[in-house]
Amino acid sequence: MEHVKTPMWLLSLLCACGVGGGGAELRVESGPQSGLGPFRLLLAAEAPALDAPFVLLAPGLEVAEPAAVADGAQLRLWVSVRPRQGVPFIAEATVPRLEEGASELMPVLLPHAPWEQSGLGRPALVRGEPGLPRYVLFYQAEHGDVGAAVSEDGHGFWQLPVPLLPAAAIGGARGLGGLVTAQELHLFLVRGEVELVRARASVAEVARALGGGPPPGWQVGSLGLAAVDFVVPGSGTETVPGERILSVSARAVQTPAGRRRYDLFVTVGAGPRRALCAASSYDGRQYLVVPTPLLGRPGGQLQGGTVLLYRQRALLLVGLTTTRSGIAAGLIP
Amino acid sequence: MLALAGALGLACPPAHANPLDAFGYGSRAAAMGSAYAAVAADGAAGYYNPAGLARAAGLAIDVGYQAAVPELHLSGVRQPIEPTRGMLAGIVAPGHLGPVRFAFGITLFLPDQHITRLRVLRFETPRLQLYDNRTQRLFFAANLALHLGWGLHLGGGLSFMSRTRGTVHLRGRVAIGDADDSALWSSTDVDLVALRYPQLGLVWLLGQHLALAAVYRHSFVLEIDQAFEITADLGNPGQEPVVRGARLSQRAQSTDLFQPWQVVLGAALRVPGLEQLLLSLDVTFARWSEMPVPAARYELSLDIGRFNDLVRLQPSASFPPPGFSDILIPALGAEWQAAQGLLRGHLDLDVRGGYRYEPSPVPEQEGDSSFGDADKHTFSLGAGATLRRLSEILPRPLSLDVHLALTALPERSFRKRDPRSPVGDFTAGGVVVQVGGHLRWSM
Repeated sequence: MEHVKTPMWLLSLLCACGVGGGGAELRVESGPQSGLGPFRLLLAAEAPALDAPFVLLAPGLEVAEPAAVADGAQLRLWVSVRPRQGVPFIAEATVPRLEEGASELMPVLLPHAPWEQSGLGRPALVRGEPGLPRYVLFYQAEHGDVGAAVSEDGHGFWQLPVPLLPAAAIGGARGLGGLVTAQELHLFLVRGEVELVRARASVAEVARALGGGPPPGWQVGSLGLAAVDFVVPGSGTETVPGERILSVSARAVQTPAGRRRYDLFVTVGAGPRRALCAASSYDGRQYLVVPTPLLGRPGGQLQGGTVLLYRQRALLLVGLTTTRSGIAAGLIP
Repeated sequence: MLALAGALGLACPPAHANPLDAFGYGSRAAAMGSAYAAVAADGAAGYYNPAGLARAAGLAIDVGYQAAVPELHLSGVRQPIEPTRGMLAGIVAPGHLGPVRFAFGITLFLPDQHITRLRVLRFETPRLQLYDNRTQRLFFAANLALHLGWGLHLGGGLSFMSRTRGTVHLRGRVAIGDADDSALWSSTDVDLVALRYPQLGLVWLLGQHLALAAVYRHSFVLEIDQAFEITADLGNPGQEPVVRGARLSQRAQSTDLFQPWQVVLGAALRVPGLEQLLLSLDVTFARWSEMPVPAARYELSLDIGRFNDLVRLQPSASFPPPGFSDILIPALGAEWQAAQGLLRGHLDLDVRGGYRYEPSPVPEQEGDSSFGDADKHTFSLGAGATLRRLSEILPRPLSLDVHLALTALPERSFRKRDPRSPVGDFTAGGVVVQVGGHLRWSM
């Protein structure tokens, strides 16, 4: 394993990123919400210090596909970054308080091994799961191999020198979402832009592989969900089936009633329209599609999104390209 | 009386169901866990057992103040439920009609924030059903009681509320280009309807030590019926209207403040050989299964002539019954005469305690509704000081009672059948702290 080295030119470029500074605290919703929307994007009045709805802007860079965790009032984001020149990589942004926006964007995973040289993207974070290192960041190289990096503090990641899940095992599927069920790690990918597939491996085997042991044995199969199972807003009040799945992310949440629930967030497109949709499961095997998009008609192009509980309130983070590219936030009205 | 009730009701915009069911009336009763049906012989009898009015020794007036402060949570998030605070007042006026002893009583709880407060939420909205919708409303009752002889006392009366049924009319012209150019004249048509529901009570005194009681309190629900009508020409000022006599009407009907009918069986025992100790027990049956759907139904119609086909109006949704369960509520109380004849025979001191268990009538919330609730354990303490023969002017006793109670709602988990539920699994729990003071004056 090797520690990531960050070129100074990149650091100086990226430290200029971020938005905002100061602002009133967002109102906390009084009732519980599971976080399955529908959401609306953050309003300027809710966070005057932000360039709403963006909590992270990176001039000159395209950022998308956020993976996020909340530590109290602080948000930590891992995003795919596509510079205009150079290869894609993964960066981390710290958001001390949502109302203030991101204060910095730091490269955290750069192409290092030969199989990564075409670039890295699609971060998927698993944190605090028994049997695994505290932080495990899964990612996908441009040509399809899935890699992993581990960390105990979420800052300094160590990348596995070899792919955790070779591209050949998943037939060129793109991703990436990751979650842990009772005893298995599930990685979700999109095959042919139309079908969701899942790669499963036991947590024990994955842990051994992350410690330098042999690669885990994967079981790869269709999830039984296709693009047409999701809908995007059409004209008027109509909705239309999704034609393409553009990205997938996943999370496992502990409900207040003490059981696990597994959510998938899927960006789907139908022609020029895009929407962020969701599917959910209690057993981690059969997923039910949420009939209404979490976010539709966003006024820009969506690419990846996730939902997390932030200060007792469901918070949507989504890659959004309008005239600018950034990570936008949304709330349940 | 009706006029008073009506006037009070008119002043109320928005309310919640019976605060006395939740927190009791008066410090003596509340301190004894509201196990008071066979004990009541003062103004509190107007709520606990109207028959107790006929046990009053003479004219009695009581006045007090009590407050309940909720710290209740849904999934760990504190809910913005307002405290229930208000003034208590009661009067008992006994007399004789020939050989028959009778008493008339009035009992009032008057919240000091809102006389009554209503809040109708979307059916799906998570809420703490029995507190968000129960504890902030006026209670006003008038009762008459008779002593039938052989230790039997019978009482009954009415509790009063009022509701409004009204329509707001707007007539004139609605501008199409700029709404500010509209010219509309409003008129309001509101009916104030008095609501009455009865209560009945019986007390049977078996010698000096034992009293048995039975009480019936009728159910109550407040129906809200509000309509809005616009009849107007559509068009800009100075131009021929695009549509003449367009009409939009909307009517919303909802119910709130549901109070189930209740039957209370009570007993009070002055323990033989330990005369300082009074024990009381109440068991209340509450018919929560008749709880109506706490959501609004609406009718909406629009007539804009040749443009009607361009608008599709959604019909009002229908909701399943909430499926609440009937419950039995046991309550225990004790009063100990800690000291008598202090200050040269002028002062008596009592200490009190009580416990009341109210199981939750709310079923599992696996579907669309998210009514949060939990079992309620109320622990109460209190004390009373009775001053006797204070002066020639005040020869009869003057009592000051105080109480402190804590209702604990152990956290209860609700699980949704469908993982896609917008609300998802949730928990409900917390505490409600209650305090109060009550002055009772016999004349």
